[in-house]
Amino acid sequence: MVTLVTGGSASGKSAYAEGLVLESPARPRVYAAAMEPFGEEARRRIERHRQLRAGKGFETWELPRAADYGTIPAGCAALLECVTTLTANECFGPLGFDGAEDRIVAGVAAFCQRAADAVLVSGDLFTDGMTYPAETERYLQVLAGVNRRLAALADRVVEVCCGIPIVIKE
Amino acid sequence: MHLIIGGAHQGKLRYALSLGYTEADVARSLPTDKPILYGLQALTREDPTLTAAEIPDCIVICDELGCGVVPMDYEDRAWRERTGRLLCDLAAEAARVDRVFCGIPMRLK
Repeated sequence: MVTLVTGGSASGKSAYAEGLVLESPARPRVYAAAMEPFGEEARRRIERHRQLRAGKGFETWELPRAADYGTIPAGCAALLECVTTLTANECFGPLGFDGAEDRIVAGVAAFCQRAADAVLVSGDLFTDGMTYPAETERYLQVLAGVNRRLAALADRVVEVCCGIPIVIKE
Repeated sequence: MHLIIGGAHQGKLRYALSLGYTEADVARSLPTDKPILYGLQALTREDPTLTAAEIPDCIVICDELGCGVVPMDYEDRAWRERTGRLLCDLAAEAARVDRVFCGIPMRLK
């Protein structure tokens, strides 16, 4: 079962996604962390998520690059946190924007194939009516493409809004 | 509590008033004993320490702030983050949660 969980920032989507993984009987529980701990704020976010997960039996896999997503143990219950960060890593990393959407979707698809149950956390960054510098707009375009393709391959798509799940596809 | 959220200018206050209230029932600051508290996001902007315990049990209206690009400015990011977390706390306790989109309320809880 592949579930895509999306929502705004601080919408409660991570806590909800984690709950889905905890419901899965598959083991081990793999937490795929896309964020690289650069800067104080990133470290605090990572720490907050670590505390949310503490004692729940997750193995943390640091996976900042899409190419490594197929390396998780077969048959596990896997949580990807999060597609927005992975997309930023790919777009602004050494491989750059060209082919980023395909690289990310291929990596995440491999991840979903390895896992018995996969929960993918992404985000809604598209609803603030603002126009950004060209590079940011390009990032948004890649992320939106990735989200659309992951939603198509997912069995279930859920938007979380102030902690409340809204099922978009099932 | 009845929590009403949604993007800016989506008709949240209009919807709340349609439940049988008038402008005179609307508060825009704390503390209040009026039946409607409007613009919670302005209050979290002013007071970074505002918690769910300080919000009265009434109709609470708040803009959703989290569905955009991560703001460049630290204070903007922190405001968006604390407002979202506060909404999660309020929604967990609320008897009813509605999201208003294009003037149409959708019941979430």
